[in-house]
Amino acid sequence: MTRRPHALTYALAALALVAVIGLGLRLAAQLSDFNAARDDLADANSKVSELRKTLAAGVGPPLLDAKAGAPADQLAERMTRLGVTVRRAELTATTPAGRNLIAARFTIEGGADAAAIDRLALWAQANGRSAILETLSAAAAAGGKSEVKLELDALVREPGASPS
Amino acid sequence: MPDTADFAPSADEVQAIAAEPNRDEIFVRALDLPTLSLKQARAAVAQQLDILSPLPPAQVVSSVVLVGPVEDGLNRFAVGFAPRELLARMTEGGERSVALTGWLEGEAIAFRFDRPGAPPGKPDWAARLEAATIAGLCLAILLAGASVRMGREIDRVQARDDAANAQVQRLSGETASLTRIAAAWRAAQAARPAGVIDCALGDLAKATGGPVSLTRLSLAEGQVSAHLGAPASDATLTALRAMGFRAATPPTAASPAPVAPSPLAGPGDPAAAPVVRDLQTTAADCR
Repeated sequence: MTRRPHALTYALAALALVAVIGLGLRLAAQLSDFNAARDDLADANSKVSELRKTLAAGVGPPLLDAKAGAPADQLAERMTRLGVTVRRAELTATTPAGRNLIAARFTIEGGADAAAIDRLALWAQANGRSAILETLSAAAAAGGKSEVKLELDALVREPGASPS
Repeated sequence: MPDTADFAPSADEVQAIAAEPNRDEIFVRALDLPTLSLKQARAAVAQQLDILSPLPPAQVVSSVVLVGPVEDGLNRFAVGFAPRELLARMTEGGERSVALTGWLEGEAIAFRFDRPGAPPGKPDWAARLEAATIAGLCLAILLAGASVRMGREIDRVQARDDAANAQVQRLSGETASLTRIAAAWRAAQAARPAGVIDCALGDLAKATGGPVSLTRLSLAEGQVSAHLGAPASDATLTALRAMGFRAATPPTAASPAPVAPSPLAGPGDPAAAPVVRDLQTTAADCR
């Protein structure tokens, strides 16, 4: 004769009920925690994306890309196109200016006539977001040209950075 | 179908029957079927319960036992019928089944009767409670599994959240640094507009009414300083002042006129000075 007392049946039923209620409540609380954690994660990811965008934008658009060659040489080439005869172009200092971006100070010496100086000023003005003409000094020299020395700050994309 | 009901125990067994008060309440029939399957036999009994049972079908519970083969490929089953009330009485303590002995052709046969459910038409609360308990336990197991899984998911999301927050913290630091640099860059842009050179050269040409000789030109801190190659006339100086230039010393025949913004000493060589023409006239920051 297989015997299972009624008390055991009721105890099992009560245990099942308590277990179901307890686990149900626990699961509900976990679900709430899960949703909260997921919301937090979405917020954090959104913030990360926003910050990355800000960092990618940097201080401004780069004037030069170090990947294309030595920045000083690239700048000397541009100066030449503006009519400045470059004798020396040197990168003298750098400062981080955002992700994969540096603000570089260049010192350039050479010769230029008034028209070239004017073009240089207009070029610096046009590239105002990427370059700042810190100092310029021109002294008259023979042949209608002046001895020019200038310091220019420019944003340079570091090598290895992908253009954004 | 043979009618082999037997309520006649042997004389030797009378004593044993007397010791088992329920024995005389078991009704036994033999049933020959062409199968060995108890399941099929039970189904056959259930179908013909009203014929086989000595009591109304609603008042009996049946149990089937295989006795053995008989002729013509048939197998004999002993079918025991016990009154539902008797079984209910015997299972009051919660027993799930009861074993009772019946007699068939002088042989004692042990029948196992399950606890009877509720009478037809009435709810069987015990069975329902049992089913609900089983369902509840199954549900509890499922919930426990889901809870474990959910716990892992929460841990996983939390870990990702922590990583993202750490990244936010790092990027925020970088962004703050970038913001400071950007502010300094913008301030420098505003303080050192390169267009002031173009504007100054244009204004000089306008003020002198044509080409002008400069021995020196410099830009620093956003200010342009120029040294004229020849003394400026009063009219030129007046025009330059009107344009926002400043002269440090009054013009004399012996000394050149320094202009905007600081004086530059010493006369230049007019022959070596570059000729300046009105190359550009617009510069937003130039007065």
